[in-house]
Amino acid sequence: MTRRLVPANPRSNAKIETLALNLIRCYQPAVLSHGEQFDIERFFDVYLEELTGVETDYQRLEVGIYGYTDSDEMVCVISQDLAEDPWSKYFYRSTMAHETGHALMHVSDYRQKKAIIRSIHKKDHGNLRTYRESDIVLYRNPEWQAWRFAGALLMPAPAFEEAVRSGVTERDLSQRFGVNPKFVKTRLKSLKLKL
Amino acid sequence: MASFGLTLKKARISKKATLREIGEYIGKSIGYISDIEHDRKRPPDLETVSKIEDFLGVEDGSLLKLAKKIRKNMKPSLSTRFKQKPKLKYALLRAEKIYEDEDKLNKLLETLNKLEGE
Repeated sequence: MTRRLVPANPRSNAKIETLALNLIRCYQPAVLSHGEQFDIERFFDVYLEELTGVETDYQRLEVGIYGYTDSDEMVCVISQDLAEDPWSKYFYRSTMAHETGHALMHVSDYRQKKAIIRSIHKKDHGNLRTYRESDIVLYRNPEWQAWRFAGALLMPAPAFEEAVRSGVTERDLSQRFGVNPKFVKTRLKSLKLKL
Repeated sequence: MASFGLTLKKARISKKATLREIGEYIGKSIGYISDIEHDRKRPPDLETVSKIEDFLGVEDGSLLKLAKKIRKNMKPSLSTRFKQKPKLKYALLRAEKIYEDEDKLNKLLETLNKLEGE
């Protein structure tokens, strides 16, 4: 069964890459100059709430749910089990970056849409219309945007391209950027790079 | 009274520390620290709060003072109360046996209400 999503505001690859790069330059420029991994946990724990007004939290979640962001409640939650699992460090980092993407891009999108609906219809609650994911164009798909953002934040294009040019393997890239090899593959494809 | 969780969170953020770093310093999980920050759990014991203050460089003892005040006004945890009053544990375990029988449970609650009213 295909999921139903609320379309986000349109965002191009370039716009998402720029958002991620600006955050890196502002919060941890050594990612670009000294080859550090982006410290997504510190960004999530220390800066995200101040930047977005979205409260961050770690909770026990249902099996198979690793995180969620709720624009009504203004919360961004990561699974406690995932955070504490030493074997899932890379997946934890990408999940956190993905939810950070939702908090940065989609909470304000959805709250603004709801406010507009409320003002037009003069109702207390504005419910957003959902669409089948397959009917949403890619550049308005919030899940695609959040994953693209996660890739751009954890594997910033300038550092990633430089690493690829130096002739490394997929495994090296995975360790260098602290993400799973599958995510490296996706990033290679989205930047149109080959090893 | 100020929230211990919120006070801890503010101190942590001003130090730019992660939940994991505090957790590792006091030997607790991220989940535990998050539960404390969101006031889902009571403040830790005073020795642990003191350690947190050391880690975060809280010099005015504000976390410790707040934890003392909150802990003073709080009932001891259920496990502590069971240790102090073993018959309470026995009574609850007996009550659990009739938990599925709504009539019996209601009768028990009525009896308790009467006894409380005496």
